Amino acid sequence: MEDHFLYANNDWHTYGKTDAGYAAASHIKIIFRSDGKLGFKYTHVGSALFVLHLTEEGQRVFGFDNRYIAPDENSKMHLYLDGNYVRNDPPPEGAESVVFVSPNSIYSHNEYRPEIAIMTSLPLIPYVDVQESSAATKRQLASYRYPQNPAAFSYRETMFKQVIENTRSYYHLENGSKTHNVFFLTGTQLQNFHIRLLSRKYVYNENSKLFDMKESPYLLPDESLWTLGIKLKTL
Amino acid sequence: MYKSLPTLNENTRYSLSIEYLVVPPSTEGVVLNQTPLFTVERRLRKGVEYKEEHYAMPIDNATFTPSQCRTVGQLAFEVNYFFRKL
Repeated sequence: MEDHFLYANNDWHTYGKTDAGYAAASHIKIIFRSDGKLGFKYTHVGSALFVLHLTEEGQRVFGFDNRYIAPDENSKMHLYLDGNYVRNDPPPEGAESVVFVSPNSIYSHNEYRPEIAIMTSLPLIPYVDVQESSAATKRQLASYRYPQNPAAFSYRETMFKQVIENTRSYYHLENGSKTHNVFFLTGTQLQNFHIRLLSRKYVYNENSKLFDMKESPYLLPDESLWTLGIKLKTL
Repeated sequence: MYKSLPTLNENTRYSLSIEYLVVPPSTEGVVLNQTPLFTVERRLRKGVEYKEEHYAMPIDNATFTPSQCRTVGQLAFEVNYFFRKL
């Protein structure tokens, strides 16, 4: 049988069940840093058995130039595949674990400044939205910054980091009539109108190197509802 | 819709304000869900030809696709869970 693998004639899973395999709690794991960067940690066993082949989306999300995450003999991430042939062997036996940290923070690389906007067909005083290369008037009742739930980090012993994330099942964005969102309308104008809940965010455009504003219907979980209370007062 | 006032009168001026707004969290995530990010392959020796019969893992699904990620922490959890299941 041709010797394709470092552990010739040993299936990857068989090696993982040896003492060396058991010694590693996990052959590859991902490490979450508090600056939003993710690192792929390879034990010696993990780097001898596996490589990670990133998709285009994976390269974009993690920010790696290389298509493969594979430690070479010097525990560096160099070209794994050259043409149709493998170019590097993994680190030698006994090498220490290695971590490849993504160059990008992925906290907000997909979208920026997410907002919740309530648009209406009521003839309100127009709200002027000015972007880099365009401007538009909109009938907006209100917009709110999307609430963030920052993670809390703490260390348990030296090696183990604890991450606590709190989630809420509802966001209470407005509560009270003393709001800056007050409009003056006549009873005729209020006879028939529509309201839309939109998600507004700024998405990075690779071509223009700028953030473009995108508005789309606010995606709601299944079997959920949102509540809007409007106060009308006779003048 | 619940109305606590009689029908609006025509040609009467009103002030309109938003009194409360409650929304559930959006199902959109930080990381694009349902988009494959990477595939785990067997590591080949230096100089070996890169063929699927050599590098493919003998398991059904060696490709990681995030499914319910709203935060980076959730992505890290899903990736580590995927690795542990290998």
